[in-house]
Amino acid sequence: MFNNLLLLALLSTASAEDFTVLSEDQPAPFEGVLLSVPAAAEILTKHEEVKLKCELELEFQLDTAGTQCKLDKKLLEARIVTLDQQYTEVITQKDLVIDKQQAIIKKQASHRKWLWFAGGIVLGGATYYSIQQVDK
Amino acid sequence: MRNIIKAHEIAQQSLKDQISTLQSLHTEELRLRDQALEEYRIEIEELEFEYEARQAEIKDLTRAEKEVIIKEFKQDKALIIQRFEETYGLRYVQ
Repeated sequence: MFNNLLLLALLSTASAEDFTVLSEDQPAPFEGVLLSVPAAAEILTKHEEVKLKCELELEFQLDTAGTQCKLDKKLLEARIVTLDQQYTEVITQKDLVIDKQQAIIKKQASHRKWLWFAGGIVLGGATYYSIQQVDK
Repeated sequence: MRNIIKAHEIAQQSLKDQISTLQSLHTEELRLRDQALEEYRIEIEELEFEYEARQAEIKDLTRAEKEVIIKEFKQDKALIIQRFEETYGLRYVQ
């Protein structure tokens, strides 16, 4: 197999070199390598076989990479959707808490306002009364 | 004091709601992830199956072509000469 490939590689690079076809017992016109017919057929078909295998490998690798890319995209999309919904949920809940706590503060503030008002009247009255008592 | 407790309860309830929602979102994301992985596994399996089938096809094609060449040589030697010339650009000499 390796020898065939080596020969194939050598033949591929040696363009426009001489070759001949011989019958049995026929003298060779030049020094060289004699191949049996099956070996010659192997070399001739190997060229096309390697080409087809290369095309197939390329296609397979591209398809695999495409599928991997599709998976990555789907996973990222799922992550984005989740993060988006998480964000919306957190913001909604925060707004809700803020609204409710603001309502509590408002309720409390109104109660204290009257307390401060009443306290002021009492304090003012007491001060006025004290000053009057001191003058007498 | 009562208001502080109420505010705390509101915050607590809000956090509970958030946790519950985040858990359901997480479950949904896991479902989508598993679905995507399953689809990926099926697609890769199909690609590998097709790849192996085509490899076998190439092997069969090569074997058949070899037989054709051997048969051709017995019938007409000029054909194998032509093949060598066309495939590798070699020059035939008598």
